[in-house]
Amino acid sequence: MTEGTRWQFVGLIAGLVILHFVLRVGLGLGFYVPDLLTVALLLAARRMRAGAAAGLGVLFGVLDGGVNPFTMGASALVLAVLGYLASRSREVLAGDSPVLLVTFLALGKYLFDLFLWGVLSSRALAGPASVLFTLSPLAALYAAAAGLAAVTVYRALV
Amino acid sequence: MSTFRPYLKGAGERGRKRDLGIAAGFTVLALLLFNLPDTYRTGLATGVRNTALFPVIAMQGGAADRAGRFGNAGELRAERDSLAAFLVGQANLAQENRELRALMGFRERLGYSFVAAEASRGRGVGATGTLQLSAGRREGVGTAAAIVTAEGLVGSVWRLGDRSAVGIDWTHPEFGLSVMTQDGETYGIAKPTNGPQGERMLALTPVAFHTQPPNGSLIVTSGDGGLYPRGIPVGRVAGAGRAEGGWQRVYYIRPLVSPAQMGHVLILGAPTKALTDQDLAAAWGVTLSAAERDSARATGPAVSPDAATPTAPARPQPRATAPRPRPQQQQQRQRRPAIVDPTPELPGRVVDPNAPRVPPGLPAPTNP
Repeated sequence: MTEGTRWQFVGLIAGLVILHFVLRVGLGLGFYVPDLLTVALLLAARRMRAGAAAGLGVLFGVLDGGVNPFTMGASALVLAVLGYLASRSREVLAGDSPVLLVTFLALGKYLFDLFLWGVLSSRALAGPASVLFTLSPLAALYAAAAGLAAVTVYRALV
Repeated sequence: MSTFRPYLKGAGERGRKRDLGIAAGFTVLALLLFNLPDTYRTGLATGVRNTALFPVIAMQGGAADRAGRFGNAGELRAERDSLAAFLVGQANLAQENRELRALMGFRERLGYSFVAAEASRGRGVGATGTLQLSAGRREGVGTAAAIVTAEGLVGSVWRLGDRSAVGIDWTHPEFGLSVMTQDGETYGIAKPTNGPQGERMLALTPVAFHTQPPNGSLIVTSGDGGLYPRGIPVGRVAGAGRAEGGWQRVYYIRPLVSPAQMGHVLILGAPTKALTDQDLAAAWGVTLSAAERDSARATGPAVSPDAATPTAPARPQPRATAPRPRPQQQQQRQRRPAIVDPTPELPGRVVDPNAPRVPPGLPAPTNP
């Protein structure tokens, strides 16, 4: 993900965030739309400093909490940690291959669900744990596929 | 935007420590946000909805309208026909009811205001059981209002915005309500749980050992607590669960409204003090046998089932001992059958339903 200028990359991230809210909330498609917010954070964190990535995670978390008040604060906390970890993952996961990207995105999305479930369970708001074994893996793969498609389009355009 | 750079600058041990410190600061900020009192977190969420997410929230209402245009026309037509038939059948009843209420001096019946809304149900971690509603304060939705469908109770409004709201359905961990059986024998609290087969259900607890609601019996809201009006169907008893402590029973309730049926909902008007005394069971065609008894228990003195306060001044009650009848009246009483006055508190002459009705001034008809 080193292609394009800085502003082009900012456009990609902003576009993913806007698409996330427009499709999920604005058009009411909800869960049928992949979690593009997490995908945007994971992609951005690969090109950001770890501290800034955590800050971006807090910002995204606050936006997410606006849609779902139950996760206000919790998603900010989880996305901050996830942004930091994603940024530091460059030291472990090097390269730009599609397989690596899909693995990175799927793992990141699943970790987001796992961490969020853990944080929300402290307030008995997490819901059944079965979600982590049924919906979450599918959502992770879905988000990874969407992220791969977004990156492919981005690379074709820039 | 200087943070967006293809490759790290200032990497190394020093840069990592600085990043770790910045990340720790943001994490502490997020932790503070998470541990804020609920009021402040709600205020922040509302602020985000009204500013950064305002265009998206505004789009939500339009999306609901567009989704309605692609609804199943056959299904809608069937529902409309059923509703029309129902209304025609109820028209005379409503008119008679109005006349009776006017006769008894009761005020006009207080009606519920329903706000129709589209609901988008959340899934996944943290969103399971939440509903994004396309109506808000401007449409007349109140805080903690009950969300219903034609089948029964869905949930309640949790956070209220100007043009939208966030609700929770019966699968959400925060959901809970006081319920009772239709006959009023069993009361309890219903909360979401996983049933014996792992399906999401409601658990009715605690239930004393001496009451045993049969499987399939209807569970409705009891109105206790004032959050939900009385008489909204919730579900049917699906079986008994494990006993807790040996003194109570737990019963599983299969809700009448499944998550797939929560696309289009009705939100009840803002709860008021009078609503807890009212009975919504009639709206679903449910007859509560314990309605009068429990109304008396809850409100003390006997009131009408729909709790409309009589506007007419208190009338003098008939005397305990009737005046001695005159001889002519005594003869008439011997001829006519005994009549029980259905409205003893009303003044006036007792009317024999079998007697011919003759306008005043005309002679009574006689059999040939």
